[in-house]
Amino acid sequence: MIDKETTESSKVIDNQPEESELLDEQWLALTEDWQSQPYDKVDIKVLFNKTRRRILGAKCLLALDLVATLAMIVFMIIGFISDSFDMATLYFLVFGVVSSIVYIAYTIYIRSGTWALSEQSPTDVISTAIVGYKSSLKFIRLIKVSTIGMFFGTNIYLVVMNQVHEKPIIGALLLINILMAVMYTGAHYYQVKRQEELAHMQQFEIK
Amino acid sequence: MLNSSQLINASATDYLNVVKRKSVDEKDKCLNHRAIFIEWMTQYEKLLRHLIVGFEAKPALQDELFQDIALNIWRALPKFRQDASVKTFVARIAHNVLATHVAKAVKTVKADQDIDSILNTDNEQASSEVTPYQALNQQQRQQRLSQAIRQLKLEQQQVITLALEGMSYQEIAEVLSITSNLVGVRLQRAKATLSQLLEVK
Repeated sequence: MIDKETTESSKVIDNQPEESELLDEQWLALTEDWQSQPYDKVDIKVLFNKTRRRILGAKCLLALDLVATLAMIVFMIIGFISDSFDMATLYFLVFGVVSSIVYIAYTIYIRSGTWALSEQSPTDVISTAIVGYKSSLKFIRLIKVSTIGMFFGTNIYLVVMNQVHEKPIIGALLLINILMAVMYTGAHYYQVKRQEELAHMQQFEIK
Repeated sequence: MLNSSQLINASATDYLNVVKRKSVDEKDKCLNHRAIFIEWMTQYEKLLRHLIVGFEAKPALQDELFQDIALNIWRALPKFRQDASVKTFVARIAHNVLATHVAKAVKTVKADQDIDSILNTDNEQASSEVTPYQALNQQQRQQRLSQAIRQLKLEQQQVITLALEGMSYQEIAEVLSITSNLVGVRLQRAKATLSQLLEVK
């Protein structure tokens, strides 16, 4: 590839010696213009704090997921030991714990892959980014699948609770379903956006 | 001779000392990284800002890219080898972020069109004839130049922005992980395309 590029370029340079000289004359002026470009100076200490906050934020999100999963596990164990929860709630908790563990495991797997990529050598940055995009798409798919699972789990749970307690749950049912619809639509929107970006990036890689 | 409880106490104290020393070392390292990061960002802010302008036209996205580059520099900082040049290290990280940004989407088109219309209006006001590059004022030339650079192919954008920053072929080759010969080839092509776009002839 390099040889082809070099050969083609030699032809270009050989055919245009005058243009090349002209370019060299203009080059100094262009360099001066470029290097004297004004720019807005930033407070580097503020930038440093912002940078650390971003890294901390990403880690906190993962930690929050972990804490929530652990809390659910503890809650489930208490439910089984104390025998104070009805069967529907226990089933719902078991379902929640299993899905949460799967979600966390997959998140760690995807995130660790992405973090490892950011530490790689930058020789093939587009290919690296494509891998990153693919993992991001996997993550979005995981959110969508989790939402579908939650949709069925929560609705079954609420219907069973309705039969046991005989209280109207239409408000809760509506709220939860709207929330999940919003989650699913949001995830779908990002999936479409990421797919478009990935397609664009792949074209770039072929070039 | 030491008895077993004294031995346990001694090893526990040793362990605590090691942990304490490690924690102090970590703290020092973190403070050291903070100082290095601030020093590098202060020193190369101009270079980074200029590189970004060569790849993205929208000011809001430029700021976003600057922060992304800062984040990547902070992450990569512990892996910096003392024998390497800081300038090429920083530029390499910046180019990774910028190349990914360019490959991601054609976000610059609208902003470039906006700049184009501004420049055209300015030019019409300045003169009714076709204005050569040299006849523009410095701000207009700078805008025209960065706009033209954004229209180049990614590989040409990469070499031209670094060359305009005054980097040698060897330095550019280090940043982009290519050979010096290939830098020459790409730069020559980039210059030729740039001259056509700027109509400097």
